[in-house]
Formats: sequence, C-alpha cells, structure tokens
Amino acid sequence: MEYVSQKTVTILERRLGLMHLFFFVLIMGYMVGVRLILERGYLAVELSHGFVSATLEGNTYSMGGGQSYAVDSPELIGPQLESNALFVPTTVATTRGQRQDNCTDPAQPCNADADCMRLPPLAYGLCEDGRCMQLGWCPRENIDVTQVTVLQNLRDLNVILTADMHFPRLGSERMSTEDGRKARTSWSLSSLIRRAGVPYATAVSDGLVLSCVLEWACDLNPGAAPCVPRLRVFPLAQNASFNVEWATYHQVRDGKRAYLPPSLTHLLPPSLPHSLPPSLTHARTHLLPPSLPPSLAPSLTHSSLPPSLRYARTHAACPLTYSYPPPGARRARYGAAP
Amino acid sequence: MRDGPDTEQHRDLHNATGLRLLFTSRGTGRRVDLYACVLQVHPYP
Repeated sequence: MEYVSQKTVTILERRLGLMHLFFFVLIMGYMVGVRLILERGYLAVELSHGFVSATLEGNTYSMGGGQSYAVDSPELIGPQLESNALFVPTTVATTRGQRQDNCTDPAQPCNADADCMRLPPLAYGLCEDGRCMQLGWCPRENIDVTQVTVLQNLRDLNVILTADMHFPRLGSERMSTEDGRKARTSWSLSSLIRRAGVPYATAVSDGLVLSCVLEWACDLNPGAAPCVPRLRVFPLAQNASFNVEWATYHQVRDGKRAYLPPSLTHLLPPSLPHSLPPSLTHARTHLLPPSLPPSLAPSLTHSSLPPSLRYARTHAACPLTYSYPPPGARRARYGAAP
Repeated sequence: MRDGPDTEQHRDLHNATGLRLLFTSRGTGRRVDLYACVLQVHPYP
C-alpha cells in the first residue's frame, strides 16, 4: 500500500518575512503609485489628426520704388486654395517685359570669352562688360530693371484657422473650432513669426517656412471643460529661406499688350520702362544668331505649354543653318588666309 | 490664333520671398477606462 503525504514547513525567520513584505509593498507601490496615479494609467489615450483650413484677412501695403501699393489678401495669396498651407509673399522682385533674346547674364561673370561656355544655340562663348552673353529671357533680373516691393505691417494681416479633431476609438463627438467652443482662431502674421522665435526682419527679407501646429489636449470624461486647441509654431529649419518664381505671359502687338483681361490690369503696380538699359545693347550683337522671327512663332501661347515644351518649341523654330562665328568674323579675329 | 508678324511674346517674371505656413491639427484624447486599469495590474491581460 502506497500513499503520498504533503508536509508544510513554516520557517519563523523575521528577516525573511520583512524581505517578503518589503518587495510586496514595493511592487504594489509601483503599480498603484507610479503606473496608475502618477502616469495616469487609468486613462485610455488616443492620438489623432485633423484638418486645418487657413485663410488670410486684412489689408496692408507694400513699398517699392518709393511708391506704396495697397495690398489685400486676394492679391497676396496664390494659389487661393491650398491644402493645409499658405504662402504670403513679403518681398517680390518683378522683372517686366522680358522677351527671348541674347543678353548678358549677371549670374555669369567673366574676364574673357574663354570664361564663357559655348553651348549653341544657348551660348556662343561671348564675354561682354564682364558678363557672359546667353540666349534667354531678357533683360535678366538685375537692379536696373527689376522692381522690388516689400510688404509692410504684417501685424495688420491675420491668419484665420478652422480646425477639427476626432477621437473615434474613445467615442468622442467630432470637435471643431467652429462649433461654438471658445477657441482662438485668428493670429496676426507678426505674432506667428514671434512665436517661432525668428527675427522679424530676417523673415521678411529671406523668407521662412513655419510649421504651425494646433494641438488639442482633450479630457473626454463626462463633465470636463470643452477642449480648445493651442497653437505652437516652429521654424521648419533654421536659416531656411523660401522663395517662389513664376511668370505671367502676354503678347505685345503694336506696342500694346494682348490677351490680358482689362479687369486684371488695375492689380498691377505701375510698370517700369520696358526699354533695355544701354549695357545690354552692344556692338557685337551681329555675331549672334538672329532672334526668333515673329513670323515663326507658333500659334500656341507660352502659358498654355509645360516648361519643357516651351523650350523645345522655341528652339525648334530657330533656323538650323547658321554657324558661329560667321566667316567674316572668323577672318577678322584670326587673320585672313593668305 | 496665329501670331502676326508684329506680335512678340513677352513675360513678367516674379520672384517672391515670403512666409510659407504649413498647418497641422493633432490631438491627444484621454478618458478613464477600466480596461486600462486592468492592463496596469494584470500581468497577462
């Protein structure tokens, strides 16, 4: 006959008992004190994202060439409908009346013809007045012909934000700044720059990319106060300027602009003289291939074509038989053959 | 429409420096939840 007997041994050891009690209290204290109370472990947490719509309101003015122009938001913002973003041009350099021609490029300084690249039909290695000559839109941007306007009083322009937020897992209602809660929705542009910690003058002259975050920290328990967002602004990168280039195309027929709706002309600041400065007209233009004859210009307007096609189309219409330098010019430079 | 012999293509070039503002809305929601408490005290939920 077999049987199994279990025996329990109780050790009366005070230090072992205290050690057991100590670790029990330690673990319970950590779970209740730290995880539950201090770290709010009794709360369910959900992270979420919402949408923001931004518009610009207000009137101000810009200064350029000693004149001031009234500016409002429709004139400033382009494109008007952008998803979660705004671009406010603070300094605009406008070079009016450019046309396809050969002219010197301020971005390509030179001392002799050898310093200039030969890349027909764009460039033929000519150095004039310390600058390389190149086929392109003339006149180039330079201080003589480019009109610079600087936007003034950014504190008079306000950014209006409309934002929403939703926590579907926690079963909250959809929240919006437009549903009656006391949420701030308007900030001046200068206050956004100040919040980002960037000097005002630097932001206006060099441009800036700002990340504007509407942060919702919401207590979704019954009876809690309505959740309102808080705006935080960060520069996307230190010393990161931002600029945009675009062109508006038109045709000039008999000295007058064509295809520009008259209703838009009042938005344009007064034009600068369209004549080229004397430095751009020089004695050696006869060495260059002729400009695109108007009769060869295609029927489509520039603005209706993508940039790559504008380039290809323009130069496909150029005569293909010219040579550089012309025979007469080569003899003049290197001496006639005996 | 075909361009006439006295028609020239022109353009006005604009180079703008300015403020590029990028907006986002993000949030954190919190609510008392019994299941969250169980997760804290139970080793194998």
